Parts: sequence; structure tokens; C-alpha cells
Amino acid sequence: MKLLLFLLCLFAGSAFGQLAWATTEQTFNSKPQDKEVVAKYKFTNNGTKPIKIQNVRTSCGCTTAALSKTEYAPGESGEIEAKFTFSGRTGKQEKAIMVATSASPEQPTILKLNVYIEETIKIEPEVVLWQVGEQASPKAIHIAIADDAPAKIVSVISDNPALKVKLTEVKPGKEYEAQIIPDSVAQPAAATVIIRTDYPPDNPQTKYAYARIK
Amino acid sequence: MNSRLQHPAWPGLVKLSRVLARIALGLLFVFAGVTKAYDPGAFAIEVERYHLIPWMLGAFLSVYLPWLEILVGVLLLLKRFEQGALLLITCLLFVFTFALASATFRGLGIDCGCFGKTFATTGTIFPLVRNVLLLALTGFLWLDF
Amino acid sequence: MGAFVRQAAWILLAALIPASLTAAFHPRRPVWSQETLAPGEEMLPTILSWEGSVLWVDARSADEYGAEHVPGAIPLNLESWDQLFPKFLDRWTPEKKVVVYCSATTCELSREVADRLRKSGISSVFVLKGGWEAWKNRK
Repeated sequence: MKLLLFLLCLFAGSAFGQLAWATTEQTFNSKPQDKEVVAKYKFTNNGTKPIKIQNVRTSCGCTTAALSKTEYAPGESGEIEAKFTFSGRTGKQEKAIMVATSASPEQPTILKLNVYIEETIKIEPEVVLWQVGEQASPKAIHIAIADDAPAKIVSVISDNPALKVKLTEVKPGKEYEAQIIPDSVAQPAAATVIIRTDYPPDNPQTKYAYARIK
Repeated sequence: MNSRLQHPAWPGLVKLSRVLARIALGLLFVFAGVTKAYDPGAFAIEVERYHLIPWMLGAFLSVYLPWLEILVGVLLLLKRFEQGALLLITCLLFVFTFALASATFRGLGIDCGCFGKTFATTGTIFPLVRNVLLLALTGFLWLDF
Repeated sequence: MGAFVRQAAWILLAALIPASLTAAFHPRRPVWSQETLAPGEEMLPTILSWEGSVLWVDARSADEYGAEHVPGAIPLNLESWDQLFPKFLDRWTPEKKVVVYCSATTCELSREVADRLRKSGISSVFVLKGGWEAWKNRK
């Protein structure tokens, strides 16, 4: 009987022996200045045969995955280190890492990496537009600073004197309204609104909004 | 096609091996079918990455193949419709082996520059060898008929 | 030999029953046609019919754009957004239909750039289904 079971395990081992993952989904909260997040996914070879990690693919070029070696003996543990580089992304980000192993080459394990990248400074809208000939009334850009961020707006200016900026504080230190006032809407024009902040202290962010007359 | 070796233990050993082979193959196919039946959509996408068949065919296979595998595995375990099951298992193994060999020798191309680092498919050799062994097992069962 | 084939045929037929149930009801069933468009996506023939009103946006890396791109396409990506977005705005007018592409169907960059454009207040933003690959293979 024992022999039968042993032989069964030998043949079925490659089908039943899989990698067991400590976790397949991780979630992080980050700030844009963090630039990247590193998540480690630990696994153990639960099978009776060695397992080879054949292929590790990520859902985008912004996420890389690294392994120290590709072959794991029965009982051996390892980890995949996934690094997601933000590159200017904000908000809710969901990235995936697909791991194909010799135990199940047609059915890869999907590791999920979720990050909430807080937008320290929200600018709404990023673009204000006038059509040539329409009414030359001012348009507003709302600037809001995230609650837990000790950031301050230093200055808001326009690089084009034909489109002026009038800044008013809606909520002291937290919410501002930048009114863009065009001299005239008879001709196409362009201006970049430069919003200077003091945060983070070692490398203060400058954000931009745009005004166009088309 | 019966073996005619004279050693007294031989026929018993052969019979035992046949039973083991039948159970192993049957369980393997049931397990393979069940894991694929769980997420046909993901399987369809994986098949598409081999770039061997058109998408529609892959989508059809992703809903059909798992059940065929489960059925064929169960039939083998229950010793019902054994001949039909064996024929289909042999065909399926040939097809999988071909697909794996194709992927191994072509090398899985990275079709999109925005994908992250990928490891070369050094490891398709192992399932390829495994499939050849399974084919040998299947061939062994054919001798019964 | 006949018994083998006959039995195999029955098995093949029988498997169709659970298969059709899967195809109809499984929560994770595949989409049937790759022609199925996600919201915001468009196929190349539709986009080509828009002719001159299309403003092409290339969401790939600078290297890939430099190698070759859709004639007239503007590069725009998340990393260099602050440098590239004003240049996009210079070429853009509200009448244009903005079409963003990256390497292939299985690439996220075009969707991310399209989402950011829409958030900035740009109207009529689409993603080319199939990406650069679809453009290269067009007949």
C-alpha cells in the first residue's frame, strides 16, 4: 500500500506540488515624493519535485520583478521583489506580476500590487480654454492641498502678461482659487501657470496649469 | 500483444503498473482540467500569448478543454469508455507537447516594449520532458487493447 | 479501431454540455471577440475614417518614438508630462479627436495617458486598440 502511494506521489507530484505564496496581494499608501514602492512576495515549494520559475512578467514597464535564483528544491523558500516606479502617477494604481512555474506553465500565478499615491496638490482643471471670439470672462483654477501635507503655496504666476493671475485664498493655507483673466480673446494665446510650493522641503515641487485661447 | 516473459512475478507487476498508470493519468487530467475550469478567461489570454491559433479558437478551447480533460480523467479512473478516453488523452498530450516545443524553440517573444523584465523561458524543458514521459505512460496503457 | 473512435466522439460531444454552460454563465469567461472594445477604445479603421480631425499621441518611450511613429504623432508620457504636455496643447484644438497609442493591445501606457488627458479637461480622447502593432499591420 505504501509503495502504491509513493509511486502515485511520484507521478502526481508535478501536478499537485505547487508553490505556496505567503500573500498574493499587497496594498500600500504612498506620497508622490516616495518615487517608488518595493513589495516582496514570499513563496515555498510545497511539492515533492524541484520547481523552476520560468517566466516573470509584469503588466507594465513601470513595474520590475527580481528573483535571486530560478530553481527551488522541495521545501525551499524564496521571494520575488517587485518594484513599482511611480513616474508621475497619482491616485489608485493596480499593477500585476505574472509568475509562470514549471509546476503550472499554462496557469501563471498573478501577484497584485496596489498603491494609493496621494496627490499632495490637486489642480482642477489643469487646462482652461477660451475659443476666439467668446466672452472674455475670467476662468478659475482650484488648487487644494491634501489635509495631512504640510505644504504651502509660495506663488502662482503666469508666464504671459496677456493672461493674468489673481489668487484668492478660499480656505487659509489649504484651498486657493486662481482666476485667469485674459486681456482679450480676439487672438489665440498661450500661458503656463506656474504654481510654486515649499514641499517637500529638500526638493520643493512646482506644479503647472495651462491657459489657452484657441 | 501480450507479454510472454516467463518470470512468475512479471504478469502481476505489469498489471499493477497498468493500474498505477491509469490512476496517475486520470488524476493528472482531472486536476489539470479543474485548475483551468476555474478561470477560463485567464487561460484564453495565456493561449493567445503563444500566438499559435486565432483568438476565437483560443476562447472556445478555454471553455471546452477543461471539461474535456476532467471528463477524460474521470472516465479513465472509473474504467468506463476507456478506449475513447485513451485515444483523446493521447491526442491531447501530443497537442500540448507540440505547443510547448514550439514555445521552447521559438522563444517567447516580448511583443510589447512596455513590459517589465522577463526571464528567458529556460524552464519549458521540464514540462516538455514530463509530457513525453506521460506519452510513454499512455502508450503503455494502449498495450492492454 | 472503431470502438476507440466511437467512444472518443461521444466524449467529445458530452464535454460540449458543461462547456456551453461555462461559456454562458462562468463569471470569468473570456470575451468572445477581440473586437470587443473597452470604454474609450476605438479600432483603427474607425479612426482612419475620421481623417484630418485626428491628433495622434504616442505614449511610448522617447527611444521608440524616435525610431518610428505615426506620421504627425506627438509624444506624451507620464514621466515627462510637464515638458511634453504644453507642446501637446500647442497642437491641440477642441475640434480634434485625440487618439493615444502605445506598443500593442497588452500595454497600459496609452490608457494611463488617455485618462490623464481626460482629467485635464481634454475632450474626445480615445485609445487605439492594438496600438502601434495595429498601425504597422494595417492594410
